[in-house]
Amino acid sequence: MQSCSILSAVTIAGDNSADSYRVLVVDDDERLLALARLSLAKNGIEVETATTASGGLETIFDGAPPDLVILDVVMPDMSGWEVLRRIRESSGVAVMLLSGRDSDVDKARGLDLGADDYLTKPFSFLEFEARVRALLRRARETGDGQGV
Amino acid sequence: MSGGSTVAVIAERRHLENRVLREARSALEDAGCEVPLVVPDGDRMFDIPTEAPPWDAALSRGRDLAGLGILAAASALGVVAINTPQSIDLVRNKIAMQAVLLEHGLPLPKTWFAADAAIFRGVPRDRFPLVVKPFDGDGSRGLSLLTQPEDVDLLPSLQQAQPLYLAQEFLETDGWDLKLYGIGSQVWAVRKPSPVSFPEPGPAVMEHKKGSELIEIDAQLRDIALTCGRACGLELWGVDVAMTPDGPYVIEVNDFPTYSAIPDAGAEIARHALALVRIEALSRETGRSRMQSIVRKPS
Repeated sequence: MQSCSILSAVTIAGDNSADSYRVLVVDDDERLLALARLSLAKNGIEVETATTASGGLETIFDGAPPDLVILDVVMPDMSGWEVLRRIRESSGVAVMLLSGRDSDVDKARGLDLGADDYLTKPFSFLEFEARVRALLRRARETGDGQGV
Repeated sequence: MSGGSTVAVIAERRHLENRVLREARSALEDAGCEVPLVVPDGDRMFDIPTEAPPWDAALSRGRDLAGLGILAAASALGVVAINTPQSIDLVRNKIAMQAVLLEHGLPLPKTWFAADAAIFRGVPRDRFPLVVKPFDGDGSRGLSLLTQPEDVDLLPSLQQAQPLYLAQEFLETDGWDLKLYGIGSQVWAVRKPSPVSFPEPGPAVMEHKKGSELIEIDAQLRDIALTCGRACGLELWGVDVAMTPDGPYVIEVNDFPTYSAIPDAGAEIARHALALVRIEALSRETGRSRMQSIVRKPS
């Protein structure tokens, strides 16, 4: 618990917001969820996780909306494309897609469906954290996510 | 639009009076382009080109093999082909096309293929009814309905040296066909009364009906349209969609469709063709490797 409070005291580079950020990571790979949690926690970011697409949608729409959703594209119960489409029916929350699919077609598809970023696996955590910080800065500036 | 370009139109004679093709040719000419017309009639003989024709781009419509040969040769010699011969080949091979679409997670009815249609007797009875179509069928021609394995006997035989049939699970719709049309990154949806009906097992009854209607495209159909076009590498395309109670299913992807009910489709095609010409010219000037991130085709 001690380490958690130290971690949460860290602020995102260039951001003076007093409130901590909340990020939801939806991926059926539990190891990736654990790594993402550690990686984001050291940036002072509160992380929630879901191992299914339907669990992710429930978290987004039934509770306090997160500042950012990080979404795997290939999941057993529903594709990330479908989850994103459902999110965009009523929410402007920032979304980063995470996928092993690295074709131009897939990246364009994700961004055209309304994703704010598309990161291909495998990725470096340095880049992952920097992209998350950038999206969170932008989300707070533009007030996205309020429509949930 | 920028003038001074040469955009050849390769089209079968039967397409020359097509509204969209005429509009596209006029729009290109109005923009100051040269628009040579290549009509691959059966009574003409062509030389195999040994150097690139003096065209910046070639716009191709039709299924004629001589026309597709001219397009493929021009493309191989550096002319911008719209659509590319590779993408046309892909969507005309219904097996390859479906494999690509399935790989992208698009919704398609379960499909089998066989050289001898009698083999479809082996499809599990609970997967019937099936719609059987010839592998190289154009439009809705040659469709038959099988409601049970025994209906295989009702199929007309294909008059081909090496026939190939596709059998697809029958999808119940409301009697309307949905067509998605794409030009570059723009997409539209049009609803049409279906010309196909199956009053009984066996060959379909075809009756062309008027009444195409442009409708608003939602996010799901937009995603389907764009992903079909991009996955197949097409710049000008159409998608036949069956709207079922379980949602939309992709039935077919076509290159250079009719664009019926799409306002100013010809002008949009001309604009897109000239944009591709400009991108190609710029990428050649700048160096392909530096521009790859801007103009790279879908992989």
